[in-house]
Amino acid sequence: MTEPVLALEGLTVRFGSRRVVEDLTLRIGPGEVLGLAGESGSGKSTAALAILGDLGPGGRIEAGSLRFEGRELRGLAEREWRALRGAGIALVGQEPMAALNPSMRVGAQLAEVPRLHGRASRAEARAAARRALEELRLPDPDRMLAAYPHQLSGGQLQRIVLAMALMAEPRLLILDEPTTALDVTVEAEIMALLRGIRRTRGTAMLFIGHDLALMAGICDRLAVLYAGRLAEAGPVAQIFERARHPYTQALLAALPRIYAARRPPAPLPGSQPLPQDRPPGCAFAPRCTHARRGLCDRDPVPLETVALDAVVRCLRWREIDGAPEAAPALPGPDIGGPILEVEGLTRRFGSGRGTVHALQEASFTAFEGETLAIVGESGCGKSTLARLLMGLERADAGTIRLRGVEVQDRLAGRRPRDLTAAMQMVFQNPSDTLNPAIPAGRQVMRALELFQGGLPARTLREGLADLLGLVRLSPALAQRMPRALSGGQRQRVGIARALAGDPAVLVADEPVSALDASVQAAVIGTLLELQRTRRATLLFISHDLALVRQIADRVMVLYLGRIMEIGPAHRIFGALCHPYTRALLDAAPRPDPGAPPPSPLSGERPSALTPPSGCPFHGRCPRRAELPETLCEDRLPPLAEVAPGHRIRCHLPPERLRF
Amino acid sequence: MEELGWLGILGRMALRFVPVWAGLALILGLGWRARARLGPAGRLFGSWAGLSGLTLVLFWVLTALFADLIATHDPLAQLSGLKNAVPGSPAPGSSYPVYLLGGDSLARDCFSRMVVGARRVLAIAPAATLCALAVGMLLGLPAGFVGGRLDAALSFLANLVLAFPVILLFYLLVTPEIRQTALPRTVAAVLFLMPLLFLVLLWHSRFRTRAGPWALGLAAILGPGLWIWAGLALDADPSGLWRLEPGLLTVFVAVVFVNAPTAFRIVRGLALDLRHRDYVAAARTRGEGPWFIMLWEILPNARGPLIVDACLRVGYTTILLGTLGFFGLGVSPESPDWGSTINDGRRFLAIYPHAAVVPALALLSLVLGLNLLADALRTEARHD
Amino acid sequence: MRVAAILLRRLGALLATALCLSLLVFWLTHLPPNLEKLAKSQGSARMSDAEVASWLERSGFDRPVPVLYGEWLGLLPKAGCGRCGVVQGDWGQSTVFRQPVAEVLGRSLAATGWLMLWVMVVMVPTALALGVLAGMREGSRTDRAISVATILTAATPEYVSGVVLVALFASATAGLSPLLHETGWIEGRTLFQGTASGAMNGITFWNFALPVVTVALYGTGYVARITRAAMADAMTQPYVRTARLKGASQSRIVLVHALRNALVAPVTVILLQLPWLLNGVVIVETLFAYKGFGWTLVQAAGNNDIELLLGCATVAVTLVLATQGLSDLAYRALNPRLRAR
Ligand SMILES: Nc1ncnc2c1ncn2[C@@H]1O[C@H](COP(=O)(O)OP(=O)(O)OP(=O)(O)O)[C@@H](O)[C@H]1O
Ligand code: SF4
Ligand code: SF4
Ligand SMILES: [Mg+2]
Repeated sequence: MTEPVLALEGLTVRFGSRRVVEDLTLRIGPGEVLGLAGESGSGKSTAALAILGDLGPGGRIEAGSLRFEGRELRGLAEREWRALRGAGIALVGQEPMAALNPSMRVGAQLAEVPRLHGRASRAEARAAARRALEELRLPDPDRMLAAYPHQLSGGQLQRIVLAMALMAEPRLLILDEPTTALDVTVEAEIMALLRGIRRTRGTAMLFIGHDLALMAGICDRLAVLYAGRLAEAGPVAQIFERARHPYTQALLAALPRIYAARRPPAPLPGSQPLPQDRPPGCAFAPRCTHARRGLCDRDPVPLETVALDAVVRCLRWREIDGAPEAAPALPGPDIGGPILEVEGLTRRFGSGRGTVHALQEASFTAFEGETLAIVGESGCGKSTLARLLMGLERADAGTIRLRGVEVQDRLAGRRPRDLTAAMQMVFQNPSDTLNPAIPAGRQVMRALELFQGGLPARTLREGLADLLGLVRLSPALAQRMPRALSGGQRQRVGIARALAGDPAVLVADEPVSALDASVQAAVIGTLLELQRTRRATLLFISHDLALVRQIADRVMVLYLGRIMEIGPAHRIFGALCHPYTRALLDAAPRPDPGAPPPSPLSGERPSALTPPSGCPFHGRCPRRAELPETLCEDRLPPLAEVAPGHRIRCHLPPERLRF
Repeated sequence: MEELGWLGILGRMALRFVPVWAGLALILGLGWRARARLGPAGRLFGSWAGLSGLTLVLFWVLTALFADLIATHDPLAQLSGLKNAVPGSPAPGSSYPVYLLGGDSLARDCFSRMVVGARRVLAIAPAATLCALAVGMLLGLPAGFVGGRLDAALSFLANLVLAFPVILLFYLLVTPEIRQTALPRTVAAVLFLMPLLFLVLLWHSRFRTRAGPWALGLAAILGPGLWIWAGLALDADPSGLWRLEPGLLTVFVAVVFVNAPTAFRIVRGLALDLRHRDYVAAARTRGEGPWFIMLWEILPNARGPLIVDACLRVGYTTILLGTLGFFGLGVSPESPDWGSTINDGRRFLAIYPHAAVVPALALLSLVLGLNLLADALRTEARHD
Repeated sequence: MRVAAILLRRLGALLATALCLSLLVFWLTHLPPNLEKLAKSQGSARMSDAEVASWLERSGFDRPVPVLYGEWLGLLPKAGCGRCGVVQGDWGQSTVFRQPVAEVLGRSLAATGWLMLWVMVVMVPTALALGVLAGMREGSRTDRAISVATILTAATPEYVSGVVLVALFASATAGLSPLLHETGWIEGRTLFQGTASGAMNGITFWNFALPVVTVALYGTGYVARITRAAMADAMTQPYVRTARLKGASQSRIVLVHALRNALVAPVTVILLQLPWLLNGVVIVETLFAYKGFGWTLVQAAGNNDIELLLGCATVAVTLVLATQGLSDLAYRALNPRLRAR
């Protein structure tokens, strides 16, 4: 057997009194890609930093061994670490913008690597930097080298960070959620690059992530971390086919699947415990449907080898049958008349350098009881639309009619109370949606107080308990400060707060995108259930097409502030759609190790400052060549009806948009 | 009686401070026991800087409180023969047998002047700080939250005051001539109205939907508030309970005036930073008014930096009061406040340094305590 | 192009502020009680109200303040000399020194310039070095030692440190000097001189060290605190981790990656510090009897020398505004994000 590139043996890391990683055993062979999956707080980044010897103050390795190419890394001197870092092991992190020095030109930062590790001269280092950028297919490398990080886009920056990591030809590349901060289309591009690097260079990789679907596309083997311990590890195909650990099974079931229509992801109750309050026995026991009292909650569960190259940490894996119960399919919506009518809505932002057209002439209608999903890449105007609807910003043109009343000229706070209550919003960021200085319950209470004004205090308290019950929170949590709640719990409180006025329209701006996969499903479930039982209209803003596919009745696709397509979900995901929608669908990762890799969309997204003339998508459109000469550049296609309720903005005739 | 040696002086001083020691032991002891329940304040007990800062500040607060018990002499009384007396000089025929820290150039007891001076300083500095913070919040919150022209106008005003070198401002504002004009009273009337206005807005925005508590609270705020305001600012309290002598009023106004723009800038910056948070948007979408959002959504989240700033600001105000005293612009020439005493003492500095060094060290230790406290609080907040 | 526009806007704001402030100062110095005092000091202390009024009328002070202000500025013609005001370079006459204000100001500003220069020479390198050293490894022993020292000096106003330093080094009865004198280490009675009036004729280490250190002490502590905070913050940034994981050495990380980003805050603050230094300078010049700008200001204010005070105020305010503008530009220059736009 060949020597593994990296071998961890019983690695235990602690920060102060908290054991963040416990008894972690991993092996990465030459040229192999190991995926390390886990939710935030499961200790995956800590493991990466331990491998790089950069735990920082307060962190230390308590037990175990780390071997890199057979050499023990524990207790290495600082000088030896320095030689190893970059050249032996390199890291690509999550936030490319933060990872680069803001006051240093990109070229200088790249050239630093050969200068540090070889005896390269200044000119040689510069040439090497240029080559590295060319290899990663960055356009116009000379401009890039002279640029400061803030002048480049997220995707470009991540490619630069990747180039920097590869420059010293490391034998192991650690990728810590390298695409989390990026759009699907850019993500697909980075993933394609990584696959290319792996093919041409054979670099071993440790791919850390939380998105199993994404990892399925690149990893050979998968290790699942839960609460600091390995839950399960094995070849990726085996895990996707037959996961043994209940947690892995639940994660897989919670994965949004792009070809599963109208079936919300299966929820997993509860959330991962913090390092200081992990239960004594199996850490997963409080959330596990298979847990046995007296068995699972007593002693720490040992890791068991269950097959060649596969381990699992569960006492009952033999008895547990593969897939957990799938969530029931959604009942069909009970759709009523129009409730929200938007006509020609436009919003521009003037900045020092020009005008950003955040939203241009958006017209659509939302009906009572339906789920209308709004999708698009970052910066396409999704949040702007939500903020305009809510009256957080003033529209430059257009009308918004809520229940037949025009509200576009009344900002929030100036709308009559019943209309304010009729449309409420759920926000994206769980750390920001609740006021950190006010107990969670009181924030819901205040909303009740405003919307159900004049009710006696006792009725209000009962109302609060009811609302918390609706979003499946225990009333005891009302006393807690937001930071004592988990992300999922905070989002639920935010939903409860929005429900206080019994809204007819609920605008949810990426309500789950910041949550862990296992928690995401449960929050979505709550939201959908409420929507169906109360017959509210849900405007669900998201960038996750797979999720949208599972829950939406209708879909609206935005690109650079324009509606490119709007129509019933089953049509858009089925027979016929806009080339941009198609590109988004193709770029989405598939939760299937055997599937062909997603195909990235080429070209940079144009800046909203200088929107292209004609069809906004023409710069990246793969179908553009099918149309005569400069039609797409010159004329903006109309949003034309291709079937009842289905409109597409493209010059191509509908029959050629079929797939 | 013989002249005392340094050991004797220190021993006797320690004895005079017994009430302070007792108070310190009680407060620190209780705080230590309850530190787990006190949140961030409790964690001060765990840090070296926090604990020493707290001790220093408490020391002076308690000294100010018990000044009458601690002082050995009347701070204004002059004993013949004790002019510039060295520390430990016997003072026969007076309320205490020695001038513990010597006599000043007018033969007054330095020790007693230091102790009573603490009361002066600690009466003015925190009150002026609170007043300045109220002004800062009342103007800074809308400037940051609303932005636009309002912000531009208010920021211009603040920069105007900030561009004045402090000492020049003092020389222009705190002269006997200015006291004769209506200027100090007018400015005081406006400045003192701010805390009151702040409380009114606080209550109104929270309870505007509930008539009962709304009326009750406003009455409870406005009644005593207007009374105190009329007394302090306009000298129009018939009962004479709330009154500020004109000298003190001018000093107070000047100090608040200098502090207000920086307080404004800090609050404005915090508001600017917090106004785009989702919870602010959530409050707006449920129809809250701007003052509710500023006072009940934004302000509570700015309290950490504001508490740190308040600590630093009390120290800074102490320095400012000293500066005023140093230039002879203090409350009154013979006032025992530390700045004036340093000013008196510096004439004979090269020969009899003690008269100036004693209040100088007192001032230094108080400001040091406040800065240590602020530093510890900031570190705590950052590690949270 | 853009930079020019910004500069122009700033210059406009600066001019507006300066005008507002000078008008304010003018108004404050021309309040009736001040004028009355002026009359009494120029005429006789025992003037009656009627005599004061007639004196003011004779001197032209009974006219509206805006008119007087216009004349002072040189925008309105003055009796006797046409338009001759600040704009034309005529700053009026000092009543205390019985010299043209411009002359007094020129002389005192030169004296203060030397003081400021030495203060900067002492303060800037010390403060930056201390701050960087402390912030490099937050929480280390070095950090804690430096932190205590800098918090201490930042808590010491000039009138305290001046008093303490004089007592320690320049008192014939206390501190070091008597000891050194008795043991024969020094010739004179004191180690350093307690006044700096001699420095007007020639600066020496012995007559200038104490004033310089007194002014520098407070600023050093303050700037070092800011540098430390900025440095500590920079050291926790992801790009520092990137540099470390590239294999860069600690010194390279500190000097190349962290320092550059950490210096933005302190450099801006040092410039904004200048006005505060002005305060310190006034105190120190008064304490050490050094006849610079601060001393002159105190003389002017204390003796109700209105035109000199106006001159001092104008100079001081211009200085402050200029440093504010400079610090703004420095911030832009040091911050590529802003520069590129
Ligand atoms: N207050 C503002 N000032 C200037 N430009 C703005 C402002 N708000 C949004 N924009 C710009 O408007 C465009 C649309 O922004 P918006 O936030 O609506 O996008 P989004 O689709 O919600 O993106 P994301 O997926 O990143 O949330 C972007 O180019 C953005 O930079
Ligand atoms: S050990 Fe028990 S609780 Fe843990 S995963 Fe297995 S069955 Fe569930
Ligand atoms: S109009 Fe042209 S560029 Fe636009 S989507 Fe259709 S084919 Fe592509
Ligand atoms: Mg958004």
